[in-house]
Amino acid sequence: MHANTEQLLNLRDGEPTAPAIRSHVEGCDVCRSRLHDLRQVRVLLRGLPVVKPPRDLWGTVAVASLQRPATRGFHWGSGLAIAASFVLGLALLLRMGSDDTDPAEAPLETTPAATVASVVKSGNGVSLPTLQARSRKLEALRAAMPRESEVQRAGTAMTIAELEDRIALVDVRLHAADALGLTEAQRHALWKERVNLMQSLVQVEYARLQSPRY
Amino acid sequence: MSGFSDCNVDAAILARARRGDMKAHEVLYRVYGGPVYTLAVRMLQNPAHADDVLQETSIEVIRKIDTIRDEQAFPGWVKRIAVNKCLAHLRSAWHRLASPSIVTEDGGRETGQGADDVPDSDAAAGNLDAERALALLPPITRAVVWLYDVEGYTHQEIGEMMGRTTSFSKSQLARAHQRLRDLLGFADEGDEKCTQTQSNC
Repeated sequence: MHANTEQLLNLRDGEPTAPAIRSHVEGCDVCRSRLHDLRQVRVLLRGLPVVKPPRDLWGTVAVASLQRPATRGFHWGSGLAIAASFVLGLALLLRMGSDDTDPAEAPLETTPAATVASVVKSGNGVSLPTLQARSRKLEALRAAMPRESEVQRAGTAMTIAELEDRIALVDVRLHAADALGLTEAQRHALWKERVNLMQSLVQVEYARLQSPRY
Repeated sequence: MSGFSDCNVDAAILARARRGDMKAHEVLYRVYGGPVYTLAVRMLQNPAHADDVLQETSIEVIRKIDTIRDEQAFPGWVKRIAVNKCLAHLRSAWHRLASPSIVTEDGGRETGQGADDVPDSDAAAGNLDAERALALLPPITRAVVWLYDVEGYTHQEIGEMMGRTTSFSKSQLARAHQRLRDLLGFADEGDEKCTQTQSNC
């Protein structure tokens, strides 16, 4: 009898093997050939190339990872949180005016939205009308996405709700821009943040549509 | 290979990531993204699911990065997370429906598209390359051969990760190699008489 595949694999991998089996394989052309094949298959499998992800998921990953603060009880959807963040946002805007800090490049600790802004490619040096046009295009793109009735993952739903809340917050600031006396640079920064958030939202929606239904 | 062996990360980057620096996390993602995706696409043979695994693994890396202290251990840690995500996908109802397979408790039988009824004439002729041959294996069998032969896990580790026994992993590996041998067109000399004169032949 020839050695079976499991016995040959034991030999290949240096696992304990009965002396009789080892002795047989050493003297049997068929078994030695099969043992060689087993080694060869492993070489072929290990030689398969690394596959690059077809699309960059980092934006979606970074957005989804922001769910953690929400689970700690901080919910952007609450009125209190919006009011607090509005005040914080105003403070940041006022400070931004003095040192020209771009909110899209602000450190994570100062504004969670900067995390989103930092991971999507936005137009540095893009004019205000261009940003507004891009924002409209993203709105149209999202509106054109099919609305599904299926239950979606809670995490995805929370991410979408969170992004929508943040966009609403930016809109509040933009609508109050005159009353607040915001400079052109500050308005530009807000539009840029809006475009970044919209882009993230569209990415999440797109990922949701591509996700398998369980 | 999935490429995890090349996942060398800088201790300073890891330290920044532990402090919540998303730029550092992005640097890490650029390092492990390819290996994780490769592992997932090889094990699951489904690009959409591989996307999911990459996304879920990355989120877990971000959330649990503070549990890893040694940059040398980082690649193995990420790989283990990704493998568990892949196995979760294989266990999911969606995957079972998409790739009908039945594994008995003793691991003695598994059927699937690639196992017994290969529609591809090339497969029947044994002319496949390793990539296509791997794709034609039943999901669990494919996962075992990839984890053992390529990723370097032991049978005991594979058995534990799959909630099975060590012998289950061994039998699945043997099954995978028998099938791969046919699909890759290695000459079958199993019926040849042994020319050896020893009594154990």
